[in-house]
Amino acid sequence: MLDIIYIGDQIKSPKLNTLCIKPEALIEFEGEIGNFKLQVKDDDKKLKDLKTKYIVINIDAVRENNLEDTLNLDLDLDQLDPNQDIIIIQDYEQISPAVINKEALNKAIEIKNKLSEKEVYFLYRSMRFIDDNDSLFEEARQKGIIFLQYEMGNLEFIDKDKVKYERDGLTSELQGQILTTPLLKPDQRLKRIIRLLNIESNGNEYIQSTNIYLQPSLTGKRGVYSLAGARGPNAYSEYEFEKEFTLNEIKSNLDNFEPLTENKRVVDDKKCILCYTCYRVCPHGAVQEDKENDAMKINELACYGCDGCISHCPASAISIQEKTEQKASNNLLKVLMCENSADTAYKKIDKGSFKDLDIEKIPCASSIKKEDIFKFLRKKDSRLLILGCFEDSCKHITGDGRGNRITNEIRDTLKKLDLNHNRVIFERLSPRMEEDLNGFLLKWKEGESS
Amino acid sequence: MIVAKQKKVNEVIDMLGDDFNSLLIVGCGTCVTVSLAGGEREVNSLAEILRTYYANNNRDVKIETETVKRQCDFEYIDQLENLIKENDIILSLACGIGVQHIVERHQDKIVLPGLNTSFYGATLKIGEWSERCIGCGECVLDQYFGICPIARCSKQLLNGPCGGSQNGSCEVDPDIDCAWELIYDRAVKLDKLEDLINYEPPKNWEVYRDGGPRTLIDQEYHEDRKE
Amino acid sequence: MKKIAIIGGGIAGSQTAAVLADKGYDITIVEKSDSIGGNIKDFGCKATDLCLQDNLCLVDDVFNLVNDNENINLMFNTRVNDLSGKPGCYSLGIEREGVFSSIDNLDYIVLATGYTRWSDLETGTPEVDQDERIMWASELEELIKFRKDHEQGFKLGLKQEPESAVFIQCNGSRSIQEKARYCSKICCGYSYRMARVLKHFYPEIEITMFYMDLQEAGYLQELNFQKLKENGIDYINCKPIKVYSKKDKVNIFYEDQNKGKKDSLKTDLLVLSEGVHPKEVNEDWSRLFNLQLDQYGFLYPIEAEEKTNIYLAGTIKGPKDIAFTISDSKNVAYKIINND
Repeated sequence: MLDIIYIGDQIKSPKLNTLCIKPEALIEFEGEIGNFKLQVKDDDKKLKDLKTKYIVINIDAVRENNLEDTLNLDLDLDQLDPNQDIIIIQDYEQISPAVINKEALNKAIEIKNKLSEKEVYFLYRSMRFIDDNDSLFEEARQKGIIFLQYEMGNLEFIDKDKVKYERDGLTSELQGQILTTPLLKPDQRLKRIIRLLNIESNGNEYIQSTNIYLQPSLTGKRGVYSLAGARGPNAYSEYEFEKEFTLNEIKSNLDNFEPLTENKRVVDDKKCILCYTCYRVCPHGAVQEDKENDAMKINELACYGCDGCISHCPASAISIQEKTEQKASNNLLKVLMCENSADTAYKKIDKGSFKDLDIEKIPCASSIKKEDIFKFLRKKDSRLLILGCFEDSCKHITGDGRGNRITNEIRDTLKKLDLNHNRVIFERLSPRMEEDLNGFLLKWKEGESS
Repeated sequence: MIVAKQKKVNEVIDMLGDDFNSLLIVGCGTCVTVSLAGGEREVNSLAEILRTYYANNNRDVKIETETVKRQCDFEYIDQLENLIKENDIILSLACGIGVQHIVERHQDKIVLPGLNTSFYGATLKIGEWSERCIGCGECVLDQYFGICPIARCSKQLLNGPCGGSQNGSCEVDPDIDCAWELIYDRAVKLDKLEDLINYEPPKNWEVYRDGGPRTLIDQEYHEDRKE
Repeated sequence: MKKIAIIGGGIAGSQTAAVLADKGYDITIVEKSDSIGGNIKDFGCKATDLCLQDNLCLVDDVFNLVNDNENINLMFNTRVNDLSGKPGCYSLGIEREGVFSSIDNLDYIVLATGYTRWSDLETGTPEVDQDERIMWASELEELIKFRKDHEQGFKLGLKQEPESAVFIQCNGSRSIQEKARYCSKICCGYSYRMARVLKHFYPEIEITMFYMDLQEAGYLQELNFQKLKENGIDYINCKPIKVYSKKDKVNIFYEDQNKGKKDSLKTDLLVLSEGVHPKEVNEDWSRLFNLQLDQYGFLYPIEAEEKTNIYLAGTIKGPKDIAFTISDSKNVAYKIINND
């Protein structure tokens, strides 16, 4: 059993038992934290089974030359013509990440040091400051590098060595050797890794990086981390720290993996039709096929208990083991509160005014089931309020969207039935919006609805 | 698989009318479960929606639900015999085949479709399906590198694109990929572009629906049955 | 189980405590005020119709964990004034409401006393006190704290509701006079979010931002000029020269660097960003715990933390945003666990 398998580039990891594989070598993948099973094809095309406790995806972004006919940022200084000025162009088409900004500043200084007689122009749209970028910027200015800020549309390439630059009505032509900063693009092999490991990615071909629960290097799947270019160009800014964090987090927990939820979610293999809906819906990659039982199964250690799979299973084959039944109530007003957002805010409120509301804590807004909601709506004049998270601050990554969507479907159905669709409302809240929650609950209780 | 979509709930209610006291909703556990239209979850949701509707409109209607593995085999329909007999109306959440199969066994019952059967398709991603086959009766995929011009070209052209495609999109609808562009790209990838030069004569449509409703007989079993 | 004292009950101390207590360590948090929470207590969610990723969602869970965990002992109104012993067996001298005592047999000590806001230090801007239209970012925070997303037409409650707002960035940062040449890292993102909140409630409001360098705020926010522009925020690259409060408007004089001449701007809401500054107590810590003060007054270890068993977490080491402070504090906890 290995501690870590790196997919992509190896990271020095003292005291840990690690192995590095190429992204294209991965053939099959299954398992959960503490026991990932990988089938890998080695260089001799032989298949090999590996087991590891953790996985770190560390695949660099690919650098692409931005414009043909211009020089690359990483060129050798000897390639430059010492008799010509230099024009460095950053952020053309795409705003460069901070790490490229840093490289460009360093290069500009290097060039100026070597060709001090020549002008070095630095055209940029945005300075991105990390570490010592600001002091580099200052140093470059002191050395006499000319910084010009441009907007797309105000910069025109006239010739191989000539650009027209316009700002505030003034036009000037610059002539010299043009260097452009590279574009960073996701490695194409990353797509396959995302698919094989079944991890959430935010659609731009990098691994999800905007959700606040996934900082600094976590993925939606427990035990799988992503670093650097696998994560996205901005992840380079704090690469050293993220690497250290990742290794320390892994080292601090190499054994005794505990489930994150109290009650196991189980799949009824007689009902399961292997449609893979749960697999596709699970934001934590906790579902996989159980080939022995001809059904899907939920990995206990990987499950975060959001219950998205339960509400989406078309065959109603998934359930919570030993679930305590909700007490039946005749109350006409019911609030479902996401435990990660609204319920945290609710804890801070003086609950005196809300004693007569039925308030139920739910693991995620995506766990609501149409069936249960209509059962509740059967009571005339009953009203339901669902409180979920904001996008990007959903612990279950995409749960807010699914919760919102199910609610909209329910409201649509109510409209079609000529029933008041405002009987069901979805609102987004964060744990720090207790003032909002208080005001909103009072209003909703009184019967006003948005 | 067969892809279907649930009928709008107000249409279902109109279709059911006022002249009944009990309803059985029957789901189908295969294709339409996978296409998220007629499985147990949908059956239960629809039942609750209808119960909510009738309760809110002061109508007393008894609604029962059941989901079988397949409605296109009599053996499964027979499992529901008593339930079907006990209820005034049967609402089938299967493809059109399931609805008709229940009718065939229960001539005296009103059996209504809860779904619009759409096409034979594949899942692209969750909640998204796309037509890939029309069941034309004579597969030509070998000649088109695995991309069907009958199902995927809006004009069912066999000898090259129509000239209306733009940037890989069909002129009928930019959301449709031009099948001929896909065929061409595959041919280039497989280095078999010259195969496309061969003229393909008109297709035999007799094996499709143009020869009337079709029956398929496996000779081996058919002989057995005759005896 | 090993015993750890954490000095400071802000997010850094609490996050470190939460991870360590979960592993079974015996934790004492020494907090000088009467509750945990620190600076972060005062910040409210900046979500408009969108999450603006201020990371506050991560915070309350941590405080709840700390309050509920039986491995964590909380000591409020307590100050640390002495240290004795050696690594693995420290004694911390403490004072609580005039009573002196000590916490003994400590295996590790974590210092997480955070930062202080520039507004708490600064004295030289009388307009801030006199004119209600000129305020620190934290004062605006107070005003928008009581917004309710579900009530239309929220008002800030000023005499005159603003038609325009100006943010001045790098206030108390990037200044040699203030001994803070560094970037505070949090204010650009903070002001950007504030500006979005104002835009949300006053869609017509004109917003201008004076900045020196625009800081990419943390891992999350891809903050750049394009983004400001998309959200209708004007930006001017300079620090204003002088601010006058006039009867109808606040006048701001600045040098337009592009045109190379003096220009002015009128507004009815001026928000001053507040840099992150080291706490004065850092000087005491440096003597007491044998730590190095950097040129600005933040702390870093002289000897390896693994040897001294004294760890630093969070903004005591320098400016950090919320997400980074949380990750850093977790990392400190992991280092202690891995060192065992």
